[in-house]
Amino acid sequence: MKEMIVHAFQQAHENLTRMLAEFLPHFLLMLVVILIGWLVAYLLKIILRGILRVTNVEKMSEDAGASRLLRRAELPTMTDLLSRAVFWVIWLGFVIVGISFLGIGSLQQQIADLIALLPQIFVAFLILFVGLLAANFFSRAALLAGVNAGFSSPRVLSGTVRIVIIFLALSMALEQVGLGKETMEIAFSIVFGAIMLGLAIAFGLGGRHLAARLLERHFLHEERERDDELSPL
Amino acid sequence: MTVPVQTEWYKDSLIYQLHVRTFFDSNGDGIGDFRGLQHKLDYLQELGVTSVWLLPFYPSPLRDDGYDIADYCAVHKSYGTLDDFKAFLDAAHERGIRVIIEMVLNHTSDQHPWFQEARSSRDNPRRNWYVWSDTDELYRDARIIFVDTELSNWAWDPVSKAYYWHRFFSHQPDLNYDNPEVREAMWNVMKFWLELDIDGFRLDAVPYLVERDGTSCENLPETHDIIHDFRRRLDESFPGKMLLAEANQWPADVCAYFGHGDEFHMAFHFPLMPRMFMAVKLEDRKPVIEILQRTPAIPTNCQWCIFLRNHDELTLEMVTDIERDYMYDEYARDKTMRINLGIRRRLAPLMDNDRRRIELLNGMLMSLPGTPVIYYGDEIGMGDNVYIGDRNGVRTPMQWDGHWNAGFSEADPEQLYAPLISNPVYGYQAVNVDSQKRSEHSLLSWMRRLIQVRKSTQAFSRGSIEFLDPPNHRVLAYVREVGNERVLAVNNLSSTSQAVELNLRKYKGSIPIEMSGKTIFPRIGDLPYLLTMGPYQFYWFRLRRI
Amino acid sequence: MSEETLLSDDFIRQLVSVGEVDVLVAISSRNNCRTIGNVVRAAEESLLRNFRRQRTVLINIDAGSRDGTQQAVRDASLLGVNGFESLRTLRWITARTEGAAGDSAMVRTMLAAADLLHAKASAIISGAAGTASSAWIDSLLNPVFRDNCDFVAPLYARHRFDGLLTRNLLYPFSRAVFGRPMRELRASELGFSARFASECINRGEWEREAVQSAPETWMAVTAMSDSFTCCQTFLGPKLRASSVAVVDIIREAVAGFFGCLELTEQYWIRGRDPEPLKTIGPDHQLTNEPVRGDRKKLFQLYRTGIAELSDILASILDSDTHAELVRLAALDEGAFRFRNALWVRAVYEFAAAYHRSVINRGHLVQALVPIYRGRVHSFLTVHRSDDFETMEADLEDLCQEFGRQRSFFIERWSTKG
Repeated sequence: MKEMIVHAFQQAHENLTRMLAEFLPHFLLMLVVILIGWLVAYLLKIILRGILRVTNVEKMSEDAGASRLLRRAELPTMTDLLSRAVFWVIWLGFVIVGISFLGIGSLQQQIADLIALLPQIFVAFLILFVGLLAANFFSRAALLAGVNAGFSSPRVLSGTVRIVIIFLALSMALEQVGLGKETMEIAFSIVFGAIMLGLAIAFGLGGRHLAARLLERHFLHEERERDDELSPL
Repeated sequence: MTVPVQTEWYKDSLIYQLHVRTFFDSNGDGIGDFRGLQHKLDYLQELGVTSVWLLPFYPSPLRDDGYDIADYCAVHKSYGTLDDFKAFLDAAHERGIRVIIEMVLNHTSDQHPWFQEARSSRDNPRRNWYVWSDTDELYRDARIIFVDTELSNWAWDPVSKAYYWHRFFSHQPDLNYDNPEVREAMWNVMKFWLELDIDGFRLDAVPYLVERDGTSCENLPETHDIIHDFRRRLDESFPGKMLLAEANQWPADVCAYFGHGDEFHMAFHFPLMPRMFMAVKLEDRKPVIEILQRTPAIPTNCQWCIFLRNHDELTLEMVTDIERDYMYDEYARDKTMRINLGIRRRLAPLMDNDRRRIELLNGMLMSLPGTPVIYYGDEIGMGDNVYIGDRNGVRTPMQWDGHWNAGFSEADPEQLYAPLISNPVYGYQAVNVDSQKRSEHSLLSWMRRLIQVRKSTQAFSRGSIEFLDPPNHRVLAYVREVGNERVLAVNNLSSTSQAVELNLRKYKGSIPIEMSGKTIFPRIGDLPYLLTMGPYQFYWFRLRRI
Repeated sequence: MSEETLLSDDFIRQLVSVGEVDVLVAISSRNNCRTIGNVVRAAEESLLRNFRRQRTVLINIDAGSRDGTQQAVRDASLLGVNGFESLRTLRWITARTEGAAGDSAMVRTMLAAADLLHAKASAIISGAAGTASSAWIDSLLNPVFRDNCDFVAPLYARHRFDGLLTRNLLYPFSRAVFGRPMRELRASELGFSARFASECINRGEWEREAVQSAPETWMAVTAMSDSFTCCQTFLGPKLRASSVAVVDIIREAVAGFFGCLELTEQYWIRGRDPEPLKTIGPDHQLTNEPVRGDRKKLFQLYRTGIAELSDILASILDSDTHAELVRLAALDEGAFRFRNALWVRAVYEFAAAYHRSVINRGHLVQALVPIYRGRVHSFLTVHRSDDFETMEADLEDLCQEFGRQRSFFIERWSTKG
């Protein structure tokens, strides 16, 4: 009995030793790969940063308004962002390759799936990010326009704009990852349709006079003076 | 010796205007004379002129530079004798130079025997040769011409106790052309000179011959009748002779003096002259084009006579008040330079002695339609003296060389009829014929070449004119055309370089050949023809189809 | 790129043909077929009457009119001016600008023409100036042509409740900052010298947003902030714009002004002492007409604005200022008064926030509109029956207030963050 137990332990010990002996080189290999990966990624990051500086990408992004967007979202500069992204993508690639050296079958499968999904997730987040910014921007624009035009409830307008844009961004993001495609489409159609109907009714009833005036002015070339406002200049 | 009869010779002519007194003194009395002039004919021949127009050389008290004639059929003794004149005339004809003399029809000197007789008593047979009146109320609508000196056109004659009519100075009584005897007498005078074989008359003060109450007494139909009569007699007895009118009037009025080709052969284009000066100052072609477009067509056997400067002031009668003010301010800021309604200055001082502007104006003179007149001395850029009276400042002795009296006379300098120009810029040491002859680049040599080029085509003397309308208003461009000869003249009126695009599509395919250097320019195509021009530069191109 | 394409080949060709000039009058137009004939005749008369001997040119820059404005220009110029003969050919240059950047392209083209033609004196006049006379053009040109002025700003006689943004913000603000009392900072009529045109055209600031949206303000500010001799000259009554898009105008004018402050920062940031500005003719004239404007509605707009935009305002304004605005919004319309001190502080804080881009600049300027309306409400109430002198005295007080708070503004402007 005792021998059996000892044997079992010995067996286990041997197994463990053997496994360790088998695993350790893999593990070391993985560490080496990860380390090399870090080095390669770091080097590439430096090189890329240099190239970006030389090519004046910062100026381009400033001109395109992307920089302001990033600042607003408290994100680093375009050069930083790109070079960091490259670093992480490359290093992550090496890490995954390294892990695959461990030879764990099920893990390998999942990692492969994850790698396949990575770009989509990345794009989805990007869409969401831009969408949130846009929602913020356009809802504020709507709010200001509404307030200054004297609409009675400008917040409803701006809220609606925000929700529609976020909803749109969200659905695009999810679709990008491939989740609940049909559900999202249906849900979006329903919400969008409802909003449009609401607006149509609201304008139809509330804006009859305005519409009539606009049409009149357009077709009769009647220039009406807006008596309630004085020329500011 | 006679120059062969050639009709319309005056169209191709180049006239040199001079006063015998100013040109060359052969006998050392300080006054130029006919022998002297004869001596200098080679100079004129070299210059290339084909006619000489002599200012009055008749016996005269010389109170109006000889326009106050005391004897129509003789030569003033200072200038020589009638024989001297005949010798000069023959010498000129030998060199192919025609002679045009001055004839003052409108008035005589008050020293003329005719007037002396007329004023002697109210019933003298010659009384009616002049215009008399007991009152100075007649003909009040006639303007006074010499506004600076005369207050009225009537002058009181203390001898015969009556007023006599004078459109010019009071010592120049007007002849009465309503009297047939006067007309006959004047024709006899003209016949006298024509028989000596002069080539033409420049008739002075033509518009004023006849007076009628209630009119301006200018350009009256009766005046035209008289001219018409003289012309008929001239054509009958002396074919090939020429009449040139001095009528300082608007073009439409002057045109009447051409009649139907049966009055004057030529007439001065007075309004054009100040406008050439104005165009250069304004740097705008508008004045020149406007006046030429307002000038009516003239009979085919007639020709305009154009000039830059002459023995009189640069007259500003034929411009508007605004234009006159502008001209005064730009060309005669100093009031001593002004006289009557004009500016008493020569070409070179008017142009600030700027060679480029002098050349440009001469270029325009030689290329615009008409027979050009060169005033003596302007071909070398002589200056003037505004400090001597009347218009005598532009009538100083010709500057031949840098020696004693500018080579004009051997008399004492004080004896000269007028002081020489002696300042360092225009004085005879700086500006004279002799030194300019020695230089290829002098104004005189340039003028000689310009005249040669002008004479190389009849397009300038007889051609039609068509103005181009380039968008650059600083450039005056026109095409002169006769037969199949075509010349394009382009003048930059501006003091700065200019680019100009000429629409020459009509002449597409022609090759412009610059006339002074005979340089070929690119062929004219469909596109506007681009020229770049230096300050005050002008081009003459012969347009050739090859 | 735009540098090369600003002037079309045809325009250059026209400039070549005209060559150097002494006097240039540029007429801007955009669908002004009804008024432009008058402007053209006024310009021609001025040139023929007072600049007869000078080399002159008239320029019409049209921003894509579709109502036959250009034909109206041709018709009017063909008529000539009775009783005035010209010594020279009266020259015209016409050009069209297209696109959204209409105003700045127009002004830039005019300045380029003035620069290229070395025009000693130039005037810009709007084709919409239906009340313009030849005296206007004379007044704009003469200080430059005869007195060596570099920049001439106009003064108008106008309805006393028109130009309230100018009166309440642009004029006192610019006076406090630049030290010169220039009334019209966004004038459609101007005069300027060759030196000034050349300086403007050679400044590399044409692509900047402020210059694009408010080229006239930029010119005025440039004139004041450099060593140019400026003056202002009285023209006459200004025609009231027939339709007023208040929000758009404020957006452009205020954003343009704030942007110009940024461009000239190095000039005023250390503080400028007040300098007098030569003024020709009356300093200002107001016509007395009954009060227009729906004050009740203005107050309502102010109130909703403050309530609805509180998040935005909180990010722009100091908490004290914001709280004060909120407190005012809670008052009865009768008790509501928008005092100078608060107005000046709010405006200064807006300018500083604009400089720091705390939110989108376009949005930021729009958030000023309700506050401006509140101020206008107060202005109309206070000056309802005031005469010209009282109004001017009050304006002087406002200017003093802007001056008092200037150091606060400069400090706020300079803090980044």
